[in-house]
Amino acid sequence: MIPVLLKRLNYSPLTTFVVKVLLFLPMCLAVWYWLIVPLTAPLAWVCDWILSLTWGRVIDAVTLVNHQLEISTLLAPPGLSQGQLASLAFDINPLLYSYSFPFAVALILSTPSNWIKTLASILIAYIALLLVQSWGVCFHVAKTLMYQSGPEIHALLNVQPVTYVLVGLAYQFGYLILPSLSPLIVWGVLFKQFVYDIAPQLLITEQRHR
Amino acid sequence: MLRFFIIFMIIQSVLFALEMLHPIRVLFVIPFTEMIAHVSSWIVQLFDPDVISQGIILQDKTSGFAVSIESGCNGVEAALVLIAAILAYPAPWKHKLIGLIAGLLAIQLLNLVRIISLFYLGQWNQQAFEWAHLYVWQGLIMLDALIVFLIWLRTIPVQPDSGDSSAFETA
Repeated sequence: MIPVLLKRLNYSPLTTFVVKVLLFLPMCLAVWYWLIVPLTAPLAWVCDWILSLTWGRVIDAVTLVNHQLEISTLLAPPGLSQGQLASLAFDINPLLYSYSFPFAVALILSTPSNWIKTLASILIAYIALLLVQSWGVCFHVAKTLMYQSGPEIHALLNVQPVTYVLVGLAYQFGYLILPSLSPLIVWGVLFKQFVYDIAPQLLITEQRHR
Repeated sequence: MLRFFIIFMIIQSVLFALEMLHPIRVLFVIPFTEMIAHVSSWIVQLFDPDVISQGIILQDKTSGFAVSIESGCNGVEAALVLIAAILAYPAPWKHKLIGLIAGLLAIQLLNLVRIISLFYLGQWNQQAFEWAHLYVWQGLIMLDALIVFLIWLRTIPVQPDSGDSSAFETA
């Protein structure tokens, strides 16, 4: 109703789009939180697969326990006495990375389109953002082990100093930039024509550079 | 679009890596964050004189509740995204400069709203604070950067096609 009202009041497509995003966002966040377990399960599978493949000597499994990703390692916790059996494990809040999805859905629902394209776009956005979220979670795991697990673990990991710097940078990028930027990029790619409608200068510049 | 995206990602990555450097953090990011805390406390003191700022911390003297403005909450990351987008887009430098000044101002104004709203939300309900802090405001600030960028794009004058791309300076 409000978008129709905005149209009648002759607001620009950009204003209508922004108002719709702000209206859809609370609903999308609520549905995302309600469906968090089924939505996050694939993230656990993908991270488990990536970490087993790349860091199989350190990571045992990534599993979803309630709303948390539980990271089980093959490393013994520091201070374990002889004969004791235990392995280091810690939790990561996947919501820190997966909030990108409800933002993408709010952007998609606010863009004029038919329902088939809207549904297909939500599915594509989910898959694309799953990969971005995996970046965040995998580097969060690496950062936790390399920066926060004590000198005994550091010695076991035997990581080069330059790797520490790169992992720190990749973690910060995956935590501070990617979750909020990635939905905008995915939306821009999926609804290029709408972006051109909002800012025709973009289309003109692109045609000139061809 | 692909060319713009590649240049944007390169500039964005370089700026972000620079932001993470210790000297840049000491010389620019931390003093800037302290200034944001100071401006926030100045605004809040207009209606709540019990609020003070110390460094990057905003605190209520009476209740003792405090928020620390860390990376991700100072608006620097969204600003870097906007800077990268404006620099990556082929437009006259005059327009880029206007876009950067107006855009960074718009981001920081909304960021002040974020900090002040989180400060009071935290005193009211910790769960609401966590939600708004970790999930809602992060996306809204970046959405602000997108809107500013789209508005800026619309203000660039469309010049008649002269058959080449020289009407636009390249970034």
